[in-house]
Amino acid sequence: VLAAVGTGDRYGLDIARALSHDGVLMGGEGTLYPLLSRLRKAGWVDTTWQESPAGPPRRYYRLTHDGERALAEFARLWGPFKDAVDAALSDGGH
Amino acid sequence: MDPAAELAVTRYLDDLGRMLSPAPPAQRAEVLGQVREHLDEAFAELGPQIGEEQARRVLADLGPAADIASAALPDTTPPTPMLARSSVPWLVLGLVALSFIPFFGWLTAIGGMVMFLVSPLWDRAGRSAAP
Repeated sequence: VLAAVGTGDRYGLDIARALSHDGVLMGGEGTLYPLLSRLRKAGWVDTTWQESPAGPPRRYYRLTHDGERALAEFARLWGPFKDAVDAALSDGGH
Repeated sequence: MDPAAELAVTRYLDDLGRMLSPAPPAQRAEVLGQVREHLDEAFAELGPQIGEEQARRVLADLGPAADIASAALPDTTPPTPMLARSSVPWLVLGLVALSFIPFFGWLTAIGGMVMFLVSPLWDRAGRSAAP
């Protein structure tokens, strides 16, 4: 979710579609919102209201510095973790 | 929006609001607000005439209201039933011990026995006595 929010401003429907289009990362789009709410409370995500070109004003989400740090830390750990799982799976296949 | 579509959306939001009622009010309002904005945005994309089928598709993409509520309330555990609390065995002992009081003693003794029989203590006693 932090990676989908990214450093640029994105609104809810936009993030929800990015995460749920393949049905792997998120089953339904709606479960995103409690997560975003929790990330905002933790100080990792910030929200601002902006006018929308079509329809009502939108709530935009953006990573805070703490959120960027948490995402960078996750990315640092994810590489070795993924490699270890890949190695275990290919060992198990032989 | 078609009246049937409007009804489907209202029902969905009502259900979600009800399921979120154990959440702190600020969190409940935030999640409901976000979901409402999501729906407004999705319907704005579809144009002014939204039929029931289109509304149902948007709601299906959002997923069951129960999933959203359970994602908002992950730490909710059901409260311990009153008669399963750890203080109950002491209360039973206390009531039975008070049975020596003249005139009223029999009342506390019966109260203690009834509490023992209706609480999970009786089931536990039965299980431990079984071979």
